[in-house]
Amino acid sequence: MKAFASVSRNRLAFLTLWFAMLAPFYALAESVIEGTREREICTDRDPTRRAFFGDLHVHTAFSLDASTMGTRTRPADAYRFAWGERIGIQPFNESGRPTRSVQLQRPLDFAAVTDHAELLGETRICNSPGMQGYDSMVCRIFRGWPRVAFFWMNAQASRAKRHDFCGEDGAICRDASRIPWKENWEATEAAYDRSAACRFTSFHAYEWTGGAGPGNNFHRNVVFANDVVPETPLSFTDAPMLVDFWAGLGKTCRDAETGCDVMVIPHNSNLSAGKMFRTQMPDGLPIGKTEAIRRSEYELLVEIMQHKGESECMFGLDTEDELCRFEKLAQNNFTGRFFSSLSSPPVARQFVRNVLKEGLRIESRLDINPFKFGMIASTDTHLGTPGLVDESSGYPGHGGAGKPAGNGVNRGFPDHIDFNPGGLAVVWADENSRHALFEGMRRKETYGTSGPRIQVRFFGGWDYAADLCNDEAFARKGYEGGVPMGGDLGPPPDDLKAQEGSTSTQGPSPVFAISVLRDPGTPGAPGTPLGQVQIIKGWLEDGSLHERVYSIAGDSHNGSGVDLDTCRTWGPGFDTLCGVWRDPDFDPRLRSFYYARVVENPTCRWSQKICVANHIRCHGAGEVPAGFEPCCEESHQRTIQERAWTSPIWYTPDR
Amino acid sequence: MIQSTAPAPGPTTDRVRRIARSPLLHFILIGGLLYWATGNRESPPEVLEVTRENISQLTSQWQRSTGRDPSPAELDRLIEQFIDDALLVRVARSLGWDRNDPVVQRRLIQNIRFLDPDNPATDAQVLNEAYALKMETSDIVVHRRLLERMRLLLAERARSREPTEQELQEYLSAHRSKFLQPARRRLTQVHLSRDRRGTELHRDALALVNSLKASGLDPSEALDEVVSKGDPFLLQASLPLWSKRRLGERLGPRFADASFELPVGEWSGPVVSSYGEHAVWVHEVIGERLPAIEQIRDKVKAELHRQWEGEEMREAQKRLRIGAQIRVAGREAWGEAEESQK
Repeated sequence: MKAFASVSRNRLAFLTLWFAMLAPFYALAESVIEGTREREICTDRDPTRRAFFGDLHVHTAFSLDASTMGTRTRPADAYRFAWGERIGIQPFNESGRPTRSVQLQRPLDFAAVTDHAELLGETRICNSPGMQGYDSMVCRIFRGWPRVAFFWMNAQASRAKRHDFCGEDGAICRDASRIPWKENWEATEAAYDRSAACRFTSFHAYEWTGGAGPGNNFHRNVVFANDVVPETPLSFTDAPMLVDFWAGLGKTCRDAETGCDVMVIPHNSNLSAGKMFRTQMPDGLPIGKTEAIRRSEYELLVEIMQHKGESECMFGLDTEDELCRFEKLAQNNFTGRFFSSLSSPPVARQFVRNVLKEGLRIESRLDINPFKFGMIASTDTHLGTPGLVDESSGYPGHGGAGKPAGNGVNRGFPDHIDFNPGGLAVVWADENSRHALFEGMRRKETYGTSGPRIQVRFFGGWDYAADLCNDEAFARKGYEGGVPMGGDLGPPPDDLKAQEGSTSTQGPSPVFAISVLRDPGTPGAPGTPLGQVQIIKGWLEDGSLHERVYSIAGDSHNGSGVDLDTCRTWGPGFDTLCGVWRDPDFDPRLRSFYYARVVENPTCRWSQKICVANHIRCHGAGEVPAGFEPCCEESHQRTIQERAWTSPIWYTPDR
Repeated sequence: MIQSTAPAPGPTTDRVRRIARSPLLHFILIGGLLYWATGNRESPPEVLEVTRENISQLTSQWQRSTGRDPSPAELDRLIEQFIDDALLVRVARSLGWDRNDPVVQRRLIQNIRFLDPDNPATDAQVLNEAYALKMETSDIVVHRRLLERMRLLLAERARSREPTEQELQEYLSAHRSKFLQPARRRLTQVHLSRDRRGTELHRDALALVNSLKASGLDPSEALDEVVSKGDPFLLQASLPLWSKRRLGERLGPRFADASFELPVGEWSGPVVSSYGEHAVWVHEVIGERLPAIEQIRDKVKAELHRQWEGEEMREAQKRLRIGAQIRVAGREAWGEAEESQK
């Protein structure tokens, strides 16, 4: 007994020594717990934060609408692509080998695969011989006539109905959805760089594909903070009402005390017929406080641009802003794209700027602003190619509601001419980790770009120095003296009130500081110089909503241009733009918001680049070759000004 | 015997499905069919012929997707691929999948109905008609479907095995380059703006670099003084340890390439970026390194599974070639002689 004790004391001494020797090594690799798993602390950390570029809207073969058009990219492939690897895409040849391949010039910092939760199980069943339901009529149509299945199955899903083969309460299909949901989970975990290098962050995510009436789009992406996710994704089929959907996310995630956290990002309000952000209940009564609170808890960001058009604003719909003609669709909903009788022209409430304004009005009534969105953009690729935003003539389309290429590459344009390669989501964060990026998204310290890697800092406060642009410490002083994009201004400091109030009848007014770096380019493409920076202000005055666009820096008429025959650009532009601006029209009694828009010099749109690459001449002798007719149509937008939109900064008066 | 274990169409119980998906079954199934396919049968295997017509199809398919003729080496590769695929499809057929696979059946019915839309026969009759015409042997979609099912079967078998710690380690050491973190550099840059200085930029930048060299200022000790010599810039003067890729994303590819050539511990430049010119001081250089396996276990496992899938496929193809009689139009050699060409 005694001997035993002494042996174990010796062993204890040995172990102590052993651990003491090891300790320095452990100290080197510091780690933190995120969700249920450990990762190293990033060596690259910046307290004044850095802009990380990513894509939060990506479909793979697990989405029915991608699968029916020949996409075979799975979540793991999509992440490999985001990392910078080359992947093959449709059409596939007789032996099932891809005939096209794509690769990113610049890998992404982060990405989320967001396959449709609806039909996730159904798509799996129809693609897997031997599974119950594989032989159902629906699945047969799915395999035999994919385009028919695309419309039919989506129509069924948008009525929140399961197909018969899913069993009485849909259990068979919900069960089948576990397999792709698990594969997606594994791929997302494998893609996340948990080492101290922190090169890439993946998010667990999916799309809740809601709709109402004839294809009015309610779609929302659901992004999880860490590796803790619900067993199956809560779909539109299972939670067709938004309020139930939010409640369901609370029950299965946020309030489940499992460490799960989640946010919801609405997208394509440009196809929502104005119903994505409702202000009235079906019975015509205004929405109540409960709904407004729920929405403001879950819906922190909005996707302002993607493959299927831009949703900031539209010229003529509550705005005379000339720059609101960018990447617009002519319909007000989805179905209208296929059956014109079911669509009407777009309405004002489809556009984010008008919705932000409407939020001020609701806030004045309920004391809560349900539409207090930060901004991002993404691609909505249905090829599983996150971040493929290049406008070059090699753009392969993004599939989905765009042109399919399952059986062969289209003659002429690879995609519908009014669609585009989509944009990027940008998050300001201390480091490239799930935790830091998710917190950045929660703060709404985000912006969207239509593709270029423009870097934008935007701060609001009450007394930034007029020469802040000449200060090396722009970012640090920006944070110290106010709030970044996505923040709330708060009331002016008391000393400032007293000081300025004595000399001016207006009292203090807010100051905004914005500093921008152009896209630095890649070896093959130098990037485009900046044109100008604007601040867009929206406010509520005497019950009516107003907006105004202020020019802050740069020059919208700087004489730059683009040669439509060669796509060569000319004229001056800016590598950097910076401005400090005090609102000259500020009224402290009025609710308002301010967001910045950065615009590049004009360049050829992807469609024009294809016209040029194929030597299409619209004037003079000779017919335009088949497939290229849109090149010469009057409605063809030949040039674009790529841009970035920041999250707003809000001002709410003291009550 | 083998045919009956292929997944049967129609509703099945959970239990049967679970068994049908079990790796053990696949193991036995594939082992069995490979054994069977490698010639342990009474009748000798059929000769696999690659006809001139096949070859010209391969050529025109290549032309359609690339816009040019294949080189002789490329054509050889296409032919070898064709043979591999044909051997796999042959196994699929011997498993009866060309008869009982519902996608195949649907396709054949569709074909006949397309050719003869007014045919009042039932689906079953139409299907028999298609088999009587041997339509399943020539249809592209049937071919593609059978190949895909073989691929899935082999892939699923590879993925169903959990790698051991040792296998993961071995894979990692054999594929270091896949997981290496790139070299990184920590540097301080003093920026002169192209927007501000225009045509004077390069002259001013040369003067800046010379004055910094002459001053002997070390940015680790006198950062503020150093920075005050440049123009204001949104990126901080002291950059963290960044890879070439990261530097390129922030300052442009020219700056990144040039900075990775500079000496450590002294002023260099001017270095051109997308925003102007810079004087640069490199503080620290870290070579490539391999992260600890704990941090990349999932990724290593995913890559290893991918490798296993490929090996499973190659192994199957290799074994299918053993003893297979193959004749390629225009080539003199027979059978195994093709092996040596690969």
